[in-house]
Amino acid sequence: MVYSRKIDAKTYTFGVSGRLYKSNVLLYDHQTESLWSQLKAQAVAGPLAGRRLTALPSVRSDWKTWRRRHPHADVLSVDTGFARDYSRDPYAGYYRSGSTWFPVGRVRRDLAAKRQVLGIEVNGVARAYPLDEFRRRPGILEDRLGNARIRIKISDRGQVAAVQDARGRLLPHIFSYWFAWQAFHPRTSVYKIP
Amino acid sequence: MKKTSVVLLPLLALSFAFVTAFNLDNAIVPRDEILSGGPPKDGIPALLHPKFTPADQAGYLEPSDAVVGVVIEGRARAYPLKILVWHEVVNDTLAGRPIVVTF
Repeated sequence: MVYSRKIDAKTYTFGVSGRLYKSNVLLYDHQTESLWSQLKAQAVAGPLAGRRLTALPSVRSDWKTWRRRHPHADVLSVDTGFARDYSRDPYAGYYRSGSTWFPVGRVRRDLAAKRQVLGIEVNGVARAYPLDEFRRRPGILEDRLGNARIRIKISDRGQVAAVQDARGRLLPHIFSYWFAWQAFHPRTSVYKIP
Repeated sequence: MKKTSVVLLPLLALSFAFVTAFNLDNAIVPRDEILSGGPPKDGIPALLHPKFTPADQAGYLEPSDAVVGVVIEGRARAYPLKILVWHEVVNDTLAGRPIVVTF
């Protein structure tokens, strides 16, 4: 997820609070120590409680594809100032395990809890798209969320290349487990291939 | 007895300070649903001063490595997942816009 750090004309910086809400990371801002839900895009406690974050469009891609499309892009360096082994995934076990780490309340049984979904919300209407469905249908998937028409571009390898509105503008979207998406979007629908 | 309390009291005060590090008084979600997640505050270090490498010099990336890509006003930047998983939060500025990339 990518958000603007500007909230009501003030600029904030964020850290990792060590707290979770519905099994999802709570960030905090260094300026007020308010806690911000990453998936809710909103401060849930502290002086800024209730304020919202503005989502910015981003894409998930593989490096080869991204580089071909944006040859002059720069990329986050491993020279972070922290000694970390970036070739090792600290969450390797979590991806494989079938259960959630922390309680998220009741999980709707539309999909398996750890099924990976693309989540899109437009004007308060939310829908989850199981990622593995895309592998079977590269191309452009047109859908309607409430009154909004959207297009999901799927690469030949079944990856989500872009999510756009009817005018071709990029729409914010997230990749998540089903249990997390449905916890933050309790009224979400689930896309089914027609 | 005296000695024990001399040691214990500061410890107790410390742990209390840790528990109350964030003020949840005006939480808009049930306070008992805000849980500790293992590592303490800043135990996962967010990046505040990220550095960047030109695409053709990023030898640490494999073609299949997943990245989050952002484009603002024609300026494109990629954030490899294999770095994001260790930091979870990158505070950045792209094309003059302050952004936070979070995973």
